[in-house]
Amino acid sequence: MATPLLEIKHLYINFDIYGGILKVLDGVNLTVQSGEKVGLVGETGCGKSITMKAIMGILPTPPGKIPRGEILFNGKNILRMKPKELRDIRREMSVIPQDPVASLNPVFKVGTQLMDVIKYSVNSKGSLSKKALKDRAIDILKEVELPDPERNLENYPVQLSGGMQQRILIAMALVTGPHLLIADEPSTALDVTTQDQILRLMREMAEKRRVSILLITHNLGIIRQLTDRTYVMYAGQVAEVARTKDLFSDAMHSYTRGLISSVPRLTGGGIAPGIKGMIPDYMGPPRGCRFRPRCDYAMPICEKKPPIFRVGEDHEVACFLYQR
Amino acid sequence: MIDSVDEIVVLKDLKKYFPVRGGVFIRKIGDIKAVNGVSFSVRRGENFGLVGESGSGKSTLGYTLVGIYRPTTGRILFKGEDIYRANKRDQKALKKEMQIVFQDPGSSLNPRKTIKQILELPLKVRNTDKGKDRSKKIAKLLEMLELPAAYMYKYPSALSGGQKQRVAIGRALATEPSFVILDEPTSALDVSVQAKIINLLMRLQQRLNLTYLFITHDLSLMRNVATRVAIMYLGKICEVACTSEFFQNPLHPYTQMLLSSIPVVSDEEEMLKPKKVLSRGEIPSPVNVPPGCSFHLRCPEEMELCSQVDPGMVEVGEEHTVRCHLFQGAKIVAPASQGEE
Repeated sequence: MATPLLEIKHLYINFDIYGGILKVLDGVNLTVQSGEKVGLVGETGCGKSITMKAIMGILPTPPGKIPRGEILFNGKNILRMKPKELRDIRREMSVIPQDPVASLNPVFKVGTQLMDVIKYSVNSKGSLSKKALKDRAIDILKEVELPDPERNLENYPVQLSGGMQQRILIAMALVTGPHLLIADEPSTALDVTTQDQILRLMREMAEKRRVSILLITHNLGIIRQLTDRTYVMYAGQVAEVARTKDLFSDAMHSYTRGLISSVPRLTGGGIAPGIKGMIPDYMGPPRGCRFRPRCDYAMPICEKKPPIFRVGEDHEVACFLYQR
Repeated sequence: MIDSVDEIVVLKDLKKYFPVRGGVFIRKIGDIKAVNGVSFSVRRGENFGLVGESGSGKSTLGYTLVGIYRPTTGRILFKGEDIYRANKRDQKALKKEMQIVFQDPGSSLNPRKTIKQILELPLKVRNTDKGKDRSKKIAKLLEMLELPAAYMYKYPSALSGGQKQRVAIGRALATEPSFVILDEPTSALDVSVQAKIINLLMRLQQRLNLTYLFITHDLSLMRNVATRVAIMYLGKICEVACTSEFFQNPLHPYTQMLLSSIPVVSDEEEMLKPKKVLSRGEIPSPVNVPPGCSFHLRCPEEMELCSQVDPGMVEVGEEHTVRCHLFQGAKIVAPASQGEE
């Protein structure tokens, strides 16, 4: 098999804070093949955004600390890279951030901000004329279907709606010609009708430009709509990986099941009871499987960290119930 | 027709405008038409779902109902009495019976007060009990919220999001209201926590005979908890129907667009969605409401008439009303709102 585009191996992340160590990531494994759309789903505080920050090399260290693990991008370990190499590799992966309003600088025109990114992306290959820069900017804005791109380049972010700002950020992410697009809750701040448009755009762009997507979200509906394969994360551990289709029809881990059943359905049928208890404190997380205190099927053996069991094609679960 | 006694809250052509000021003399140069002629009624014991996107005016409507804002025009009847025409004392008594739960418990609870102080304040303001009785009442409230009694002396920062929202619900229920407005009570929470809070709200409704006005953007949630659903767009109601009818037979093009945009988690739900109505455009600013039907710029079924005439609310089935020119032949129940446009 070809080298995966992105491969995270046994990643541990701790935070040294006053009063102790927060053990946030606990041996995370994750791969994204080239051209694949992968989802990473979990609730607030499960470590999904920390994973994104580690991949992009923007994890604040200190207080963050990566005691063990590797993040390989095209086979090269990002964690060992020099700043220069890291800068080059960042052209090959882009982030679409969560909150478009907070991600654009309010005092610069949209066009200025977009052209800065274009300048950066062609840095090593020599500089572009002003005219060429602008043409590039207009082209990419047309591609993300922003209405009236010439005029909107001259606008400040506040003059645009949330959906339009998110289109600008998608344009910024795509203009460097990345191989990997990391979308961190790209549509949480948007309304459903706008969200629908943004998701459609992301899917079209990914297919057209053959970009891999790592979609980080808490919304299972979005995962189902956009991804091929999904990782379910709970309290810094990967609970389950499966093809998205299988995950929704055949979830194995009791956390995944609880999560899926908690989503209110358009077909009715009432609201499920939810998952008992709450996410553990990272200062002293439960030993072994971190879901153990909330699990209906907890066994004595769960005090050991569950290995990953293969239960089907492309389907793996970290749970002792599936030990054979 | 439903007996009017059963209608606990009636809104009649309610409008709430906010002035836009500008120019050298900071004169009024326009209006933000947040709520622009809304009429509906909520029945006793009902769970009325008011659904809309951000900027549709749904929260302003809720705030106007509980008296945070005064309506520009229109009337609000609570148990048959106009809450803004009643005298001060009656107003106070009426307001005790209407409470609101806010969206984000993180910012709606005072971080410097203990849970006990937070829950005690409404009791003090309403001046109903003496100190000892208040403590008993708070203990009972906590039990009702399924929180341990020891939480009384904790601060909000020590609580999780779900627990904070329980306290916020408790604060609203402290004055023993009969009508509670829930303004996106679970949108700041994770789904597994949301499920628990919704179940608690449903149990409380049963136990205390409450009527809910559920303000939300989540149609899937409303499918499971609401008795009737209303869709709001740019300060106006576009469609009202009882829940089963609403989801089986959505008629307004905007309702169909909303429903077809929802990311769902199963094939059965996918089947239920209206045939793909491609969503386009975004909600315009309520300062410049488009003439005619406010949705016509985004509507896939737009006709010439739509940009000129604001459609009235028409009855298309039993307890199913729609504001759209497509259903012209039907009986008009409320003409288009009159007034300066």
